[in-house]
Amino acid sequence: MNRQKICLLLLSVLVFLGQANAATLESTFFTRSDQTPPEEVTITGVVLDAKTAEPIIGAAVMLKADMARGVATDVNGKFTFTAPKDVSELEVSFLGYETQTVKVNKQRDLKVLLMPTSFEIEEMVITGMQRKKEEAFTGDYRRVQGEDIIKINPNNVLAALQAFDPSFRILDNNSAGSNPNALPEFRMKGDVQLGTGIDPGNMDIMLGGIANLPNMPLFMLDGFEVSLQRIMELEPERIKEVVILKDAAATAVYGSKASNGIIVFETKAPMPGKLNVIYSTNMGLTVPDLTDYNLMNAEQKLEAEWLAGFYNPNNPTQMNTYNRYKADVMRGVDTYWLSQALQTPLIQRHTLSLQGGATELRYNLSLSHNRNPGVMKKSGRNMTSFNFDLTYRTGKLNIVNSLNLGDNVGNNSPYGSFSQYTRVNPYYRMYDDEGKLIKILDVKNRGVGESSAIISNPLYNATLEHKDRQRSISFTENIMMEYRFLPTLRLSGNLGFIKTFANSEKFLSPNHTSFEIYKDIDLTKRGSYDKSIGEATTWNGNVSIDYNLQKREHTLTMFGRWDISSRVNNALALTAHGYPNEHMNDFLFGFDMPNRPTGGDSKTRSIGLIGQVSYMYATRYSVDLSLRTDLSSSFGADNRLAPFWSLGGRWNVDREKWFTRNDWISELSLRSSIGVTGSQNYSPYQAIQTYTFNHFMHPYVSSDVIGAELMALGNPNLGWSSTLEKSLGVNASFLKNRLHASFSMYDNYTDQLLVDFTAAPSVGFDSYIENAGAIKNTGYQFNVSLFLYENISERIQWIVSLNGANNRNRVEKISNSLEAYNRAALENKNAAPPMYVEGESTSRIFLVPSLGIDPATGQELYLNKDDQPTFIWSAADKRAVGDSNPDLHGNINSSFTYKNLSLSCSFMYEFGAQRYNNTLVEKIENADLAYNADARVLTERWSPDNREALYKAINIKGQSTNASTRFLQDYNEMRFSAISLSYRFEPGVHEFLNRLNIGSMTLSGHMNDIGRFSSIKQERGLDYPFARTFSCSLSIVFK
Amino acid sequence: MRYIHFPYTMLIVLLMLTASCSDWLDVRPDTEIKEEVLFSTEEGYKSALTGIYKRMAKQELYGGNMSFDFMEKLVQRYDNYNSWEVSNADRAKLYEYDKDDNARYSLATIWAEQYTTIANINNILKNLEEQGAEVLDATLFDIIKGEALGLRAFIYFDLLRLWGPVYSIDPGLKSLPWRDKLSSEQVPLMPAKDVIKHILADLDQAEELLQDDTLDGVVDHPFLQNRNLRMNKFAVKALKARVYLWSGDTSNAYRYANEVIETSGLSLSTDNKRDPSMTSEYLFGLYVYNMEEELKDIFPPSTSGLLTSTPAPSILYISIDNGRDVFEVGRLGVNDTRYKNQHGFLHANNRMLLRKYMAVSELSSFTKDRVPLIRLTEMYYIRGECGSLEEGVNDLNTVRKTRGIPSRFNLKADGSFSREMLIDELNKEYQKEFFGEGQWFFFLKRHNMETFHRCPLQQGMRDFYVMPIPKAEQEHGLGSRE
Repeated sequence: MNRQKICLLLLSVLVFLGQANAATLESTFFTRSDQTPPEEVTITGVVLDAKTAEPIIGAAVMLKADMARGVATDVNGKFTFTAPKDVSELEVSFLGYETQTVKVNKQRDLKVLLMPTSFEIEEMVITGMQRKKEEAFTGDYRRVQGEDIIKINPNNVLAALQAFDPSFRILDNNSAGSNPNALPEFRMKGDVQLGTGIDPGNMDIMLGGIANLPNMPLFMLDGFEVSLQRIMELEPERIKEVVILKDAAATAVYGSKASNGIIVFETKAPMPGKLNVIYSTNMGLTVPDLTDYNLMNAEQKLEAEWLAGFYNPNNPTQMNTYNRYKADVMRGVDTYWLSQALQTPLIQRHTLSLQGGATELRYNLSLSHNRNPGVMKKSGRNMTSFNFDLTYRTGKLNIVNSLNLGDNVGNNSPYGSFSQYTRVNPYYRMYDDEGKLIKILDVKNRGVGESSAIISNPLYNATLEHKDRQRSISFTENIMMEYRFLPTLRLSGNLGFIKTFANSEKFLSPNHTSFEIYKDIDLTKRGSYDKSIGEATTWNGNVSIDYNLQKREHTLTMFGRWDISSRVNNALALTAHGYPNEHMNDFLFGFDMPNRPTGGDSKTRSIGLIGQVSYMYATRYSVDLSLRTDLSSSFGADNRLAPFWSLGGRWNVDREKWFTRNDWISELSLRSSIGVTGSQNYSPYQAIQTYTFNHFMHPYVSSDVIGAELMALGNPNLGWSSTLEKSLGVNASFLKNRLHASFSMYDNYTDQLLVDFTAAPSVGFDSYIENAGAIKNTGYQFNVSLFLYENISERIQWIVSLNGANNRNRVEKISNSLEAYNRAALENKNAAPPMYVEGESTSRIFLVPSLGIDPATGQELYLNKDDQPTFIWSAADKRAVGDSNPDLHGNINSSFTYKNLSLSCSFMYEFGAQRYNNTLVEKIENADLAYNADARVLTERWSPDNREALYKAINIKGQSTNASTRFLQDYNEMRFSAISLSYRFEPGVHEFLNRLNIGSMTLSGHMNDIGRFSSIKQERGLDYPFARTFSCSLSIVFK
Repeated sequence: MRYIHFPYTMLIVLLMLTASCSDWLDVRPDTEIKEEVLFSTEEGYKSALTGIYKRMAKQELYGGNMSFDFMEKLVQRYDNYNSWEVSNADRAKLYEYDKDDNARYSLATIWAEQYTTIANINNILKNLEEQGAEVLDATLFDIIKGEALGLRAFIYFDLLRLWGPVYSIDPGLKSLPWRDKLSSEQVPLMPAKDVIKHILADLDQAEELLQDDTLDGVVDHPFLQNRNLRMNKFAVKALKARVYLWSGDTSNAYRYANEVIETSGLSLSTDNKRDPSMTSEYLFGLYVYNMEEELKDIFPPSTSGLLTSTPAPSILYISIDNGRDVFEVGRLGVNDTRYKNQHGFLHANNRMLLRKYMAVSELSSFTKDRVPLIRLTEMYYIRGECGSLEEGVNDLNTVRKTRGIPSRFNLKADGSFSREMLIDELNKEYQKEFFGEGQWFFFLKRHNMETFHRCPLQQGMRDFYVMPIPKAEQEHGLGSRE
């Protein structure tokens, strides 16, 4: 219903605008003289890039005689200009191109070819704070164009970004699968910091707070820091380009925020013109991917239970149960539970934007709606956003204002966790004889002294009244002002304001199976409602000056910036229970609140000061020096951070006089940098001992105050951790520019790395923050792209690119306290081997070596410390047997264009790592057979008839197998992540566009997450299955 | 050239701006408080000490595991097994402390939680030393320090009673890491006899500091009310009696038990109908907020929970046969108030349910939500065990009389009455008196009893009195007994 309404609405808006387009455009206010005096003439024309023959959008076409009169070219590079009859010359200009004066004779239809000023100068690197000339930029970065992102994945910008740079990875979330409400986690540097999954229902996360997420990179959008949600809401069509900043020289200006990498997004500026109506849509299907599940069917499951000893032939009760199941199986009951909670939903996104304006004042108004249902029934995420951008640009003053409203609603499935469906035994029926869902399927006895398993029908709860929803609404206003006092001196200021409201609600009906235990006891406890609300306000502002001096061969740039930010958030969470009637599903109907309210309130404020000096000589040599100091309330008031700094240099070898560009090598530049960046995932402030009243808010009768307890064990001896980063890079083009290659290597030395160290329980706390010593990460990255075929005149191009990265880490030295710890561990025969050892990697996997299952006894045979076989598992026998870090990982991309048709595909690869395969342990050997399990339970378990088995004998509750190398497997993987085919319609070629008033149109089809070839067979998507996506996009620019 | 100076001037201005904002940056999260701020006020010390009692009252410790839960399951108190007959072998699984999930988990929890409490106590003591005298008046300083030391001794003693040796056999066994300051330092196990020394040293100091304390508290001083719910002077003395008895020093044990009986002003209670946990006998107990409500699934206050054919697995009931054996109904009759329906237990459907922690309607706010840790009866038992046979018989008869056992069953210290018989009677008394209080196991362990009522172990209990050091402790290179 809802979906149809929205489609209708969009359609009617389109129709209306189409008419408006035809009828009213002539009188829009951009054209300066709408009443053409008789002595004026109309000149039309097109402006094209002289090199590529691509139309130039937004080029200024002005009257040479009267520079106040002018128009800008439209999306097809065309312009219509009303000029005095005596017009003789027009001036055509565009940033990055040489300004051209065109003589106007009798000819009224012009074709203007603009030459790029120079191939290099158009290349600017946006760092989120500045634009820097690429030829002078000494940092390591990767730039990706918006249109390339759409080609890889039109539904998920961040997933697409992975294809372009191997250092940027979204971590596989094996439990959340393709849940549209799950938030991704990232890995930017080689070393994954300690971190736990992001809970999307966490109020701080819903409010856009990222401060406490250990691996979250910093996202910059058009010069402002934004939350992960905002990036996920961003429509891919709006993105102009994305820059991933990597080394010290590129990130030092961000100081302590740089530790997890910086990703800078820039959106497209509004197109000039009378009124451009742009509509784009993306629609498709997501299909659950269950190929990793290999469960038993009804007959196999019952057989497995028999073998495990659930049924004693001498026990009539047990045999009755068995015969009842058996009869059902014979009758053909074999329920495929997996598919019951799944759907193949239609995903869609619609974006409508109105853009236009003249050279000085331009606007963009856009509305976007994104419906993203998940593969579990009734789950999904809907995002709606509204943007209004206004830009004003004159010679000296430049103002950009942007306003955004976002509404983000996530619904979780009433069907619950997917794992319930993988566990239910297939010999149960879903419905009883009257066709009603059975509530409790079975109470399964596991035997003497063991609790029985109450198996409820997971489908039952889905029929009840249910609410599980999160919503956040944000309002963002950013204004950027820039004033050029002199051509060389610029002062600019930014001010940003974000207000976010969020709430989450979860209602469980009184009939929900989780309340079964209260059935006889208490009606006032059945039914529950969790509700939380929160609000956050963020301010940030900065003032910067930019000074640019160019004298003959010397170019000097100085940049200074002062920035300040403040964030306040507070949240409240309440739980009530006792909802006797499931239709009384408002929080207010609750009987009482069993727990006191929880929530939080936090304020953070920070101030940063940045200085940067760059010098370039003769476009050949450049040097960059950056400095930053940070002050922040989260470091404590009197804790000033040591300044972060970086020094980078670049040598454009190809500009040397002695370098002759030849067919073999045409471009060559070298770059190197050194610098110190912050790399703390903990700050010493967190190690200050604090007390909390949180758990003891109730009275103690013999005291007149409430109780307080220690939060954690402090560590007063901690120092700031910082990383000395060194990097070296080469960029080169070979074979007449047909092969572009870049290679970089780095060496990052982190001193006083702070780690969350597990403590002996007698310390009184689970863990404490400890200085682990120093760790060195070294690695390399490469990116090669090859023009396999190129024919400019025929517009055929085939590019294949390969990128890859490798990272190794080594503990360089360990702190004294750790050394004492290690020594004690080595002396004690029961102690596990130490985690941090000098000269070793931190990603090693420690397991007890296994010799497999002893054919004679069915017991697992281990190898102990002294290389003697033993049946006894001991933590002390653990050895470093593998490494979870891959030797190489990266992507292979191919992009083929023939005229208006293009075909892209992308693969991801990873090899040389090891992983502990949990499926084998949890779903085979330790599987609790009251529930369904992997089919290998039946065939590959040890028994006197199957002595060469891989897994221990079958039993009821599952073996309590300890971790050993029996479950360690090599992890090599190749994923076919994307394929897309797109076609661009042009008015010149496709006549029907003119009839429909369409300027240009692109139609494309995509498939994402298509296939996966891995050396490890394990269940993926435990709580929510993974999915494949098939979608179609359409983008139309109306004239 | 004029303009070149401009950026520098700006930079200097910005630097000055930055330098003056440290106040603006000093914001603190509202839900926590820095240690140094907490301990800068009297209220902070009071809160930190109150926090210790609240911690101890958690279900993981004395509000569950250390009272009616794990400690009582160790001595096979309850009958809440699944429908059919339970074999001895099934019940004996618990004693495979390293393998059985329940035992392993409970022991690891007790170990970790007790040490977290100790860490909190150590931090109070550290702050008292460093700045306490400036913040607190002398009375409060002595009370807080005395209580903290007494509590540390109390907890270490319970750790020692679980993880330490049967003291009479192997007092040199390495038992526990003794941590008296908050740090992540590696501390190896300390032999039991040294732990006893440290405990006694703490208690001596506590006794000294609390010498002016009374059980009545101080009028109009809201922090010094209900002293029996705090580590008061008599709790310290009673604990000393316990510790001395454990370490075999019977004369000191006698002395302290006697002193408590004579001077505490408490008397044995006869009413466990309206006061099932006998709060009027508390030398030391804990207040557990909303306890009866929280434990409703374990000790439901109505008989309906017992009447169904298979009561919910959470209900810790015993069968009537078991109850009759424990309270020797066949020999001593049904008048023992610790057994009687609506007194010690709720009887229904041939099952009995302990009333000590039950939300019964007779409870007043002075008797509800409390867990006993040391009761006066134990002092009678200790004095009785350490004195002469006559005194022992006297003390036992005194207790039995208040519990409703007719005087015709009184014990007599005639020629046929031996010390073994006294210990045997004491054993039965501990079993009856401390039902659901976690003390019986310690009596069995102290006497290295070979077996006990319903002991499921064929080989006897002697190999199972010493708990294994938790794995997590060992994996950190600690916890070696050698």
